[in-house]
Amino acid sequence: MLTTRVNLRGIPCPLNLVRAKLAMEKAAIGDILEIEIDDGEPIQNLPASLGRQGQEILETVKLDNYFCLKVRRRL
Amino acid sequence: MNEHDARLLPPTFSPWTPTNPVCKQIAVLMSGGVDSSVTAHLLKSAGWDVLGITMKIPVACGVGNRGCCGADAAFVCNELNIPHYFIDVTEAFHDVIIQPFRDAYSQGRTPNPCVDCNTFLKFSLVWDRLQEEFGITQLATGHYAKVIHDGQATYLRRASDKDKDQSYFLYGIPSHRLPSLALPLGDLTKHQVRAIAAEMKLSVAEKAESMELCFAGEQDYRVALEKEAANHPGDMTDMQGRKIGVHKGIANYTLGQRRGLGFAGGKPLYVGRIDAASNIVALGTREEVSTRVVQAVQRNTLLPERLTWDTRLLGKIRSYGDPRPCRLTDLTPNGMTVEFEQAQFAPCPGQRLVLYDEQENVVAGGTIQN
Repeated sequence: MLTTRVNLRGIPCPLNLVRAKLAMEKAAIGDILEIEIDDGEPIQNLPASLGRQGQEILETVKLDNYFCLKVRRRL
Repeated sequence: MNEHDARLLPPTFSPWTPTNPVCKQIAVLMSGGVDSSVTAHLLKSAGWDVLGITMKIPVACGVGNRGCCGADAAFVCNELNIPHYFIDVTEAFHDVIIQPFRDAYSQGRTPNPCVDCNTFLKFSLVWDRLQEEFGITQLATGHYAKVIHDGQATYLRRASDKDKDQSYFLYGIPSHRLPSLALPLGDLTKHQVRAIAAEMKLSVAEKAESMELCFAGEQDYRVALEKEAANHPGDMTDMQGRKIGVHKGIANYTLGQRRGLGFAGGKPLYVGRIDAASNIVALGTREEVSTRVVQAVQRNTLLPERLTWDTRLLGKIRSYGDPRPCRLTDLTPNGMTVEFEQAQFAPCPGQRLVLYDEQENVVAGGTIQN
């Protein structure tokens, strides 16, 4: 099981969802992605969108001026 | 509309690098549904340089069963190997679509946000921006209607599949842009479109059809209004003004509505009048809420030579159903009045009156006022 860091800071919605899904497709089922996203619209939308797609949101950590979203690929 | 911006996001995958001349370049507005996806495929197969465009609008992603802002459209473009961009129209969408939608209900009218989105965003703001940014002059959508070129004339015509026909929603296109609009699904049925998507193995081939307002998600449109002032209870009367009950707030009713009125038995009653100023909802029989005369404002005319007193016209006052015979009785610089041969059930102020000629071409349309 791998953990991969994906930097999506500075990438607006919904482009960040597309990028996150592409990164998810490269991961194996069970792998974990640590996705860096901005405050505001991205943190409001991206976890809900990925969760709705069946991915497992493990945790959301607030860092200096961005968030790290930890997601396990389930599908 | 010029005060609003339509901001292009960076290319979703690869940038737009057309190889064809401008006359064979076209932008396809893609929602992420099967119709616009097949539209893009058909145009690419016909040799066009196709650019996929998805509007970013103000929706809460991940709410209910709703997907996020057309991300599916981006992946379809990737499958079709065509470039894709998101265009951010959230501010304009709020000001031009959502706020007028709320205002209309609070005033007892029944808005049609889909017509306004086509007219003011897709066929104006977005098209202008695409022309500025990419030099693209031609636009396609996945609507079921036809654009017919006949010599120097261009017509917007009903789709072959009358049950799917969406020409009603397109009447607001500026007439100078109609010749540059492409509607490749106009001769197809939904079944055929899904078959094409399945044959192409598009990821959206089996995607369910959205029947809800795009900005209200999969929930009832009234959710978008639940905090509006027009939810205050008030008197429910008959058409003569006699109180017969209490209503839940005028935003919960639309003209012609029968269900949810709280009256069972006897002759069926329908909402016949909504008076926002006095907060009264009046109910009447089918005959009482029907009328032959329909007046519309904010007219857009596509065939001025056919908007005449002696032309046999066919009119629609709602998106579904067949056009019905009528004749023009008044024409003002921005409005029109028609008289139908037979009384029409509950024309709703805010909905649209769209007129067709006998060849099923859109002649003109406007917003119902009476």
